[in-house]
Amino acid sequence: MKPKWSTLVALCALLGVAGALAQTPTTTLAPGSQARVTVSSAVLRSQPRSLSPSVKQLAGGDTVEIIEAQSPWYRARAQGTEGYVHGSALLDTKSYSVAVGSGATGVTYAERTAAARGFNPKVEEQHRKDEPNLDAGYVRVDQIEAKSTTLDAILSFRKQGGQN
Amino acid sequence: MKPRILLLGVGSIAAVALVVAGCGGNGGGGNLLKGAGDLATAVTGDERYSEIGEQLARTITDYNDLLPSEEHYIGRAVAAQVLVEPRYPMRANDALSDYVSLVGQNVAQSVDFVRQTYKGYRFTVLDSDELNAFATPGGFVFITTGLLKQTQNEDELAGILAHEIAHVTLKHGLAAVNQSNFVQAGQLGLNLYKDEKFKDDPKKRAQFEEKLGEISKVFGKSCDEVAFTLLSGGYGADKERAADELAIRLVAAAGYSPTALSAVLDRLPEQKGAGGWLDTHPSGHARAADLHGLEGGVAAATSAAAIEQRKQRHANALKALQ
Repeated sequence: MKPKWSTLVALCALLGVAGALAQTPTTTLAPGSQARVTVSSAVLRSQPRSLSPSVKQLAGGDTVEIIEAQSPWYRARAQGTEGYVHGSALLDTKSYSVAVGSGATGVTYAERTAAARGFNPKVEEQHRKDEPNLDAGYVRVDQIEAKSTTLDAILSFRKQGGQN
Repeated sequence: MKPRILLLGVGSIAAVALVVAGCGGNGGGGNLLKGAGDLATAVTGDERYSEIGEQLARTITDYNDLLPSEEHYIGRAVAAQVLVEPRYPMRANDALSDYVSLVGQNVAQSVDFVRQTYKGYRFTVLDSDELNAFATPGGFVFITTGLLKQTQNEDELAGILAHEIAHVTLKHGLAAVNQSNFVQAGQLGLNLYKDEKFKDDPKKRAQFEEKLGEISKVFGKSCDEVAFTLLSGGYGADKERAADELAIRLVAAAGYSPTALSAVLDRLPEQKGAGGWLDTHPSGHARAADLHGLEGGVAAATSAAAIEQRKQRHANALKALQ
């Protein structure tokens, strides 16, 4: 059977687009498209400003629907709630599924976003086995990571410093 | 019969992917097969089809293709390397470490053009006389008590921490990794979901363990390259200039003085061989001179009275170092 060259060309073009999507996590997200949260936790805010109040907490792997871009923010909808989420915390669903793997039912890992098909918690675990001298360092890293600063503490610090 | 038709369709896509990848001269035969499975996944959006060739893969061209979580794990490993160095003891939690953390968070969390990282930024003081500050990918920022003592007010401290936030936002640490490491990590395509599926299959389990061993070596190599650049090699003058330029924009947006960073840089001694910033960065005078040319274009949103107010709490916090 003779191959249909027009079909092949169309497929090549389609693959090219898919390849580009897979390789560009910072792709601009189109209105109406869906995106996934790639950071451990993100905030859906009432205004497109860093210190504006939270309307909803988003977890890594959550899906949001893009309403419009207001760089570097996106107005988006998550489970019926609208707000603004920072673009650096999002990735289009296609690239996300290539990087993490879709259809992952019954996953027991608490953080879906950490399950990249590259460097992930399992790799860190193996690295620590390979380099046991780093253990004391990792204990300190865990202490550092556990220390968080609340939005209220920052707002009050700014007020004291005349940065309202 | 529908599933068979679908699989044939995916097979054709994989075949075309081979042609496309071949045309581009992209890697060896094994890699082409992996790439085909991955492209089939990208097209169908269904991971089952990437399992056609068993080997799962993902295209990582460079550090920009990494997920924030992957950057985070690199950052943790580099930070662990720093924190086992006898010359960098981590300061125990006290009023000074809380203060430094608040100044850093004030910049990191109040400015819109700071890139969000997987777990956010953290600011840690190291009890070392060396004049140094550095940041790992993912946002673990360190500053020594030696460099802290060089700052005369909070705005100068904010300038130094903003320079480090800028390196993270601009992914300078990740850029220090030989990109072939990332390409290899993607090709190995270790899949945690499959790990779960394979746990009762000894043969596949062994294959998984072997792949894990390989990817862990690539990971270790990548982290070593970042650590070397941070602590010894330096990023180079261009990246330092880019981080200084972004830093003064960050502090201005946060409500600090954009001229404070050049003030502290101008005060640093010109002395090579002492380690830290003096060896890994261009001279403080040269950096300050470059910044003077840019400061006029950055609008300051603070007053002399507010700078003085912040200077007081800076002096109080740094009393711990006297």
